[in-house]
Order: sequence, then structure tokens, then C-alpha cells
Amino acid sequence: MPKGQSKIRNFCIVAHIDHGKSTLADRIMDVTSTVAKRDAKEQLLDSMDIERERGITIKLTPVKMNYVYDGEEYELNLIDTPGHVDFTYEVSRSLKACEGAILIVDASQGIEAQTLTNVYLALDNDLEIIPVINKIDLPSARPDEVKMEIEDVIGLDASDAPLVSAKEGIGIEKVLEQVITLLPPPSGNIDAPLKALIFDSYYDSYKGAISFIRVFDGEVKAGDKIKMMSTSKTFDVTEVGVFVPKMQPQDSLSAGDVGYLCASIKNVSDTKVGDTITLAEGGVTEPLAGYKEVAPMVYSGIYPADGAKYNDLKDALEKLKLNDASLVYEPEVSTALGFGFRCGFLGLLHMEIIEERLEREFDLDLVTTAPSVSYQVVKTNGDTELISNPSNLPPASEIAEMQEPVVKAFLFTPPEYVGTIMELCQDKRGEFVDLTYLEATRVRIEYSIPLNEIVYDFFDSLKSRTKGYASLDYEIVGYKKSDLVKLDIMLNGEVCDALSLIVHKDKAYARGRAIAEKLKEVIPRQMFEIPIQASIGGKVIARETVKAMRKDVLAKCYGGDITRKKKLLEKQKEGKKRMRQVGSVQLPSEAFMSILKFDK
Amino acid sequence: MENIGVYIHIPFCLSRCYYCDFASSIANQEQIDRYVEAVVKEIKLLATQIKYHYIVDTVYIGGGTPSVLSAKQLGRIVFNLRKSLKCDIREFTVEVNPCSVDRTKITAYKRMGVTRVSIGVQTFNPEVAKAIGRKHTPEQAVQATKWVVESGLDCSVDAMLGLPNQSIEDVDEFVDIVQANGVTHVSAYMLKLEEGTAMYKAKQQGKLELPDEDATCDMYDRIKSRLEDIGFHRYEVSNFCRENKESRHNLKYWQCKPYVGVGLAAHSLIGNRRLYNPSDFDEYYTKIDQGKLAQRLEQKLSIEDMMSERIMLGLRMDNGMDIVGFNSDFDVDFLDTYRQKLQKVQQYLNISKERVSIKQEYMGVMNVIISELIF
Repeated sequence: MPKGQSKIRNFCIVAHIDHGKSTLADRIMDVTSTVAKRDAKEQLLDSMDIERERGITIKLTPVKMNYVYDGEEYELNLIDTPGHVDFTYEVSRSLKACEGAILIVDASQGIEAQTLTNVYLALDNDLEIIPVINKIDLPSARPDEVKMEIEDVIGLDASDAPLVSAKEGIGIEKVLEQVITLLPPPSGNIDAPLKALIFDSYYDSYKGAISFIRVFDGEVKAGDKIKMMSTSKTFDVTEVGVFVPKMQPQDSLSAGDVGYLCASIKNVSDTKVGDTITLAEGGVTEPLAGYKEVAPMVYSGIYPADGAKYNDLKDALEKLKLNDASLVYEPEVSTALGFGFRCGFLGLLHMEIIEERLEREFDLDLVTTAPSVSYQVVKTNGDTELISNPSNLPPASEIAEMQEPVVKAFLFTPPEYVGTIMELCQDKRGEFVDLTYLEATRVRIEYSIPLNEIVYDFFDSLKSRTKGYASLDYEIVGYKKSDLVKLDIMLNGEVCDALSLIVHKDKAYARGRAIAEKLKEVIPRQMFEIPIQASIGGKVIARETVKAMRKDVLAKCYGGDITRKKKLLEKQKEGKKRMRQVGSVQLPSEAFMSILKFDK
Repeated sequence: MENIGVYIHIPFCLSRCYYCDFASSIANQEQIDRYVEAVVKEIKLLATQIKYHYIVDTVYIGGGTPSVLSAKQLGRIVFNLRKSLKCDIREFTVEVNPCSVDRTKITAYKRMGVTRVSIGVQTFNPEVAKAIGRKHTPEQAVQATKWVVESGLDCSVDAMLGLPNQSIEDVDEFVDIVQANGVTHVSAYMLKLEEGTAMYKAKQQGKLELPDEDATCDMYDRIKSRLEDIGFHRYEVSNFCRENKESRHNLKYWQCKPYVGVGLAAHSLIGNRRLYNPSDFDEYYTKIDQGKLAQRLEQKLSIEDMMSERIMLGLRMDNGMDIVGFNSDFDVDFLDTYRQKLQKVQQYLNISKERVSIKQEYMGVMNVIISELIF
């Protein structure tokens, strides 16, 4: 064995968004000289543009570093984790690959929603936790109070927590010292049959799907025949290696190691996050605990703005899917929007990221429908259906019962916003569960809220009502019976399927009115009057009218500038091309999303 | 020989109106003299090109404000025009501002052969006039119409609609004055805020309140029906007149007939070429001083371009586009070539074998219809 397990430390960094996780990771790589200065971009582990721009991590990247402490050389494997609630399952799998976690807390902001979620996740995975106070260089830093907060709220001993400024490079050695002295080395039997956890994967056009793995027992090397335990599919290993942070092939990976594995796997869906890899022959029979299929929770219709680009959109989704097993999609046809796809996402951020990548990396113009969740419909004939597209809802007469997903929502806020937040949650059909003062200036409120209400305009409302001070975290806890109805929108007498949505009965009138008003704003006047009606089961509950256009004529048109005037017309016509023809009505793309945004 | 219209641009004003983005500057006698000389020279240069091909049958002196020129200055231009070009002038229009016109000037215009005076009134409401930067009083404007009519010249007035503080009653008053004073032609425009103008900026900063689309259209509908009540008819979307008082020069623009522009920023259509003069004084003078025309090519029109323009401009006129002329000029069958496109918008059109026009009630939204036909 080239190196002893006792000299390995596998750890990750967890933090609330923007508390400095990626910056600390960068500094740690600096100090361990893993990355030559000239290669160092800010936030090196965040490899996608979107990640760097938004300051969040979507894809995980593990990196192996060498560090000499007290005369001994150690191998440190840092596994970066995504920083958002949508990716909780991924986070939990990458935590599983570690023995310990660095918990970063911002010295001025203190504990936030995801700080706690991540701590609990780490504890669930039996990780040792090293608290670290970051951003001590800020004038508003209050490290002593934040230490107290960590001890009071989380119950961790923070007395010896390193005070760090990742930005300024202060305190990094202290962090590494604690990683080596406080975190346990991996345990595991190299002579036992192979047992390795997949905590992420990505697609490489030459090597196929590449799994990021943590080996718990045994050893794996090129030439081994391996088995994916969730599917029993077998593959021949072509290469194993580590990230430094670029891929570096190794002879083998053995118990305690973190690295990658290639096996000519054509599809990332064969490298499921959380799955256990063992040997095809003489492997283990019991997989590692905790694997589950990830189910999308938020759905949205994605259509090309230009109908002719359907195949481009299809290709783009296929390519994204290669790297993102949690993205699901299937073709759908809308009378309003033509051919497109119903896509399922882990959450709203995941949805936004996919849409943004489609537009940016594949240069597509998209029309997206308002996000919806998946409902369980129990029919009168006893069948149960999962409905993710409101237009597929069976007629009311065939529905015995409807159920909607419900989340446990944690809101963290300064006390002065408790009132307005509770009002918002009540308004969103939330059920109050608990309210805790974390300290004099911070409160944690727990609500049970239908996911349907979260995907509408909850985030925006929360932000605007609390001037951005409150943070939200949620996890889906299950389905609950609910009194839901389908709200249809009719334009000029015809139902526009892409605008239909499922809402709670008590909310239907208000929402119907709000949507009709909003559509009146966004639909431009046309050659004829357009009635906008919101209806439930054929009964009209709200009505607005877009008056017929009266003025659309070029000024003057004397000899002066005919060429320019013609270009003006041409531009106007181009603008119209971006509109969707729904029956006889021209609808701008933003109409489909605008039905979401109407908090006062 | 073909007929041609001549447009002469006078880029000077006493003050700039808040809505104006035309090429114009505040007058100064020395500059005006220099400009008049350049225009005279340009006419002579043009003559070498068009004299043997075209007969000038309409002249339009516009601006800016041509009436800031003295009768002598304007006379010098007109004299050289008649001397250099082959002329058989049937209509000769000069634009004037009530602030810079008097009875003597009108009389002088008549002697030069002017047949028609177009007065930039815009509004007879002093509050509204003030809000858009017009410096004349309603009395001055009325007086100007009287002088023109008394001299036996055709009198046209401009009206703007959708102005700050403007009301339907103002429109009624406008038509009353038109009727009482023998005006035979009205050009009525809905205000369009052009980028860079004072009003545009005020609007951006939220300091300007304007009647909305509906109120403005109500004013337009009102002026149309009131003018029709007193015996006018609309012949182009912004132009109304008594019988046989159409502006022949302006009709050329909508019928795609040839015209040549003289002076700063003036445009021309000669054959299949759209040309324009620079809008910068120095650039213009430099060329003319070198003994060269200042025209630059804006666009060389293909057959398709010409067909599109003929439709786009022709449909602005109430009696629409002449299909027979179209067919013979382009050697096509219009109704056949445009069959599919015509079908899409036929409910908005009157179509016969001879003419195609937009129905009265859809003239205000013609862009939608025209776009369907030409793109």
C-alpha cells in the first residue's frame, strides 16, 4: 500500500450561500500548492460560468492535496458540495464520502438557514464538524457573538474555531491543522470486497460517464469488472485516478481514497448518485445505506420561441441530461406553444439554471410556462395518477381526491419581520409549527406549506417584505390531501392550455382576477378586442378586456426617410414574430411567466 | 420627359420647438446668406444632371422655417431654380411660421409664383402652444391664414394632436377657425416623441404628461369627422382638404414619383435610387464649395423594394394604391402575386381590379396590414 489510511483526511466544506465556501476552498488549494498561481481563477472549483456568476456550486468537484504537517505528509481530499436546497440529496451523498466537514459561518451574518440544514445533514452522516468563522476582515465582523451563536444554536464547541478571512488568506493554516488533528482518518478494510460510493458523475465525450467515487472497502483498478448495485449493470473499468484538481490516472483506488472511475459508461443515468459500486464477481451483497432515486418536484414546459428550433432544443436537453441525471424531460404538445418538453427539476434554482444554460450555452430562445408541482390524483375508479401538467388533469367528475406536495419550511429572520413573514406564510396556506429565538436578533420560524405556493412567488415576496433579510430553506415531507381546482384562462373565448394552472379552491378567485389583470397589462392591443376570462370548470370567475388597437401608423412619411421608416416596420414585424399565436391572439412570451408575479 | 418635384430645405428657425428633431438651427443673417448661396450653387449643379430628363412641376420649400428668409433671399433661390431647371410649375408651396410672416412677405411669395402656403399652426390654444415651445399667439396664427387667403393663395394649416393639456374642445375650435378663415387644407399629425427632443427627455424624467393613446385617437377621430362635416375629405392618413386641394407635391411621396431634395438633409428619389444630403452644415458646404453634389446613396432599390414601397406608401392614401399602374410599371399581376398575403388581411381592405385601399376604420392601424403585405 503506497500510503497509510492514517495519513488521509476526507472532508468537505459546508456553509450557507455566500458565506465563502468556494473562496476558502481556493485558499486551501493555494496553501497546499495544489494549483499553480497562474491557473488560479477565482473560485476554482466552480467550473461553470453560471456557478461563478451566481457564486454558487452546482456540480461537485473533489480535489486531492498534499500537505506536510508536523513533519508528516498527509493526503487531503476536499469534496466540494453544492450550496443549495435543491441539491440536498447530492449534498448528503457527498457528505457520506467524508469523515469530517468544515462548517463556515460568516462572521457578520451568523447562522443562516442553510447553515443549519447542512449541519444537520453532516450530523446525519456522522461527520466530525470543525466550525470556522470566516470574513473576519469585514468591519461588521462579530466573531465572538457568532461563536456564541454556534454553541447555543448548534451545540458545537466553537471556543477553538479558527478565525479566518479566506479572501485575505488569514488563518488558513489553522484550518488545515484542525483538519489533520481533529478529523478522523478513514477506516475501511482494503482486503474486503470492493464497496465504493458514487457521489457525483459527469459526462466526458471521450471517456463516457465518469463517476466520482469514495472507496470504503477493497480496491478498484483498471481492468476490474464492476457492478452498479442499484441496476446490477456491469462495466469494465478503463481508468481510475484522482483530481489534483485535473484528472490524474492512478494504478488503483483503495479503501479510504477519493477519486474517479471510468468504465466506458455511455449514460450518466447508469452512474446514479448514491449508488454503490462493487465487483461483478465476489462483490458485496449489501449496498451502502441511503441510496434513493431523485424525484423531480418542480415542472415547467419549455418550448422554443421559434417553433422551427424544436430539434435544437431536443439536442440541447439531451446534452444537458448527459451531465445531469436529475433533469427529466418528455415531449409535450401545447395548442398554444406547439412542440416542446415538460421538464422536471429538483427545485426552482435547478429550473432556473437549466433554463439559463439552455439559453446561454445552446443559444436558444425559450418560452417557459409557469412552474408547477406534481399532484397525486386519486380517480373515482380507484386509479392514482401523478399529474405534472395542469392540462392533463382529468375532468372534475373523475377525480375522487387530490393531493399536493407539502414542505417543511424554515425561515430565518430578524425579529422585526416575524409579523410580516407569518402573514405571508398564512396567506400561502402555511400551517404554523414552531418559532424559536436563536438569539435576541434572530428568529427561526417553521411552517408547513404546500410546495405549490412556494413555487409561485414565495421567494420574491419574502425578499421584498423583509428587505432581503430573511432566508428560507425547505424540504419536501410528502403529499397531503387538498381541495384543488384547475384554473383555465380563456383568450378571445378559447382556453390557452399553457396558461392553465392548479390552485387551491380558496385562492382561485383571487388568483384568477390577478392573472386576468396581469395579462391585460402584458398583452398588446391588437386589431380586435380581446376578452380575457379566468374560469373554473367552465364557470367564468374573472374578466378583463384588451381593447382593440387604434393607433399603429408611421408618422409623416414624406420624402425624408422612407428607408428608415421601412426598417421601422420591419423591426416591428420582427418583434411580432417573437409572439405566440394562441388562436387568433398574439401573446408575448413573457405572458406565460408573468402569471406568477403579482404580490402586492 | 418625366415630371419631378423639387424640395428645398431651409434649416433655420427663430427657436426650436420642444418636439422637433428636424435638421434646423437658430437663424443668423450671415449664416442664412451663406446657406442661400450654397443652395443656389447646388441647384445649378443639379441642373447639369436632371435638366434634360425632368420637368419640375411641383416645388415645396420646407424646413425648418422658410419664412425666416427675407423675400429677397427666397427670391434668389426661386429665380435660380426657374433659370437652371426646366420648369412647368403647377404647385408651389412655402411653409411659414406665424411669427416670421407678414402681409408683404405673402405678397412677395405670390409674385414669385407661389401657389400655396402651409402654416405651422399646430394648435390655437395658447396653453398648449406654450407647452410644446411654439412662440406665436393664436391671434398671430389666425392673422397669417387671413393674409394668405386674402392674397388668393391656397392655405394649408398643420395641426398636432395628443399634445400636453390638449382637449377635444381644442380640436373643435381648430376646425371652427379653419372654416371661418377659408383654409382649404389641413395636415393633422398625432404627436410622436422623437428621441433627443426636449419633450422626449421630459417624458423620460416623468415631467411630462400626455393624453393616452385613446384620448389622442379620439382627437384624431374628432378632427376627421368635424372636417368632413364642413366639406373636407381625407386623402391621406394625415391630410385633409377641400375638393382638388390635395398637395400634389406630397402625393408624389406616396405614389413613389421622382423628387429631388436640395439643401441640408434633403432626400431624393431619382429612378431607383434614394439619396440624401448630409445633415451637417460643414460637410454640406465643403462638398458644394468643391463644386460637387453633396448627395449620398441611401439605398439602391431592387424591384422588390420598389414594389414594397409602392404598397407601403400607396396604402396611406384613402383611395389607396393604383393596381393598374403597379401592374404596368412592374409587369406583374398584383392581385395574383400578392394573393396569399392579401387573403390574410382582406377583411381590412377594399379591393377592386383598379385599386386596393385600406378600409376607413382601419387607416389608424395600417402598419399591421402593410407589414403583412410587404414582408
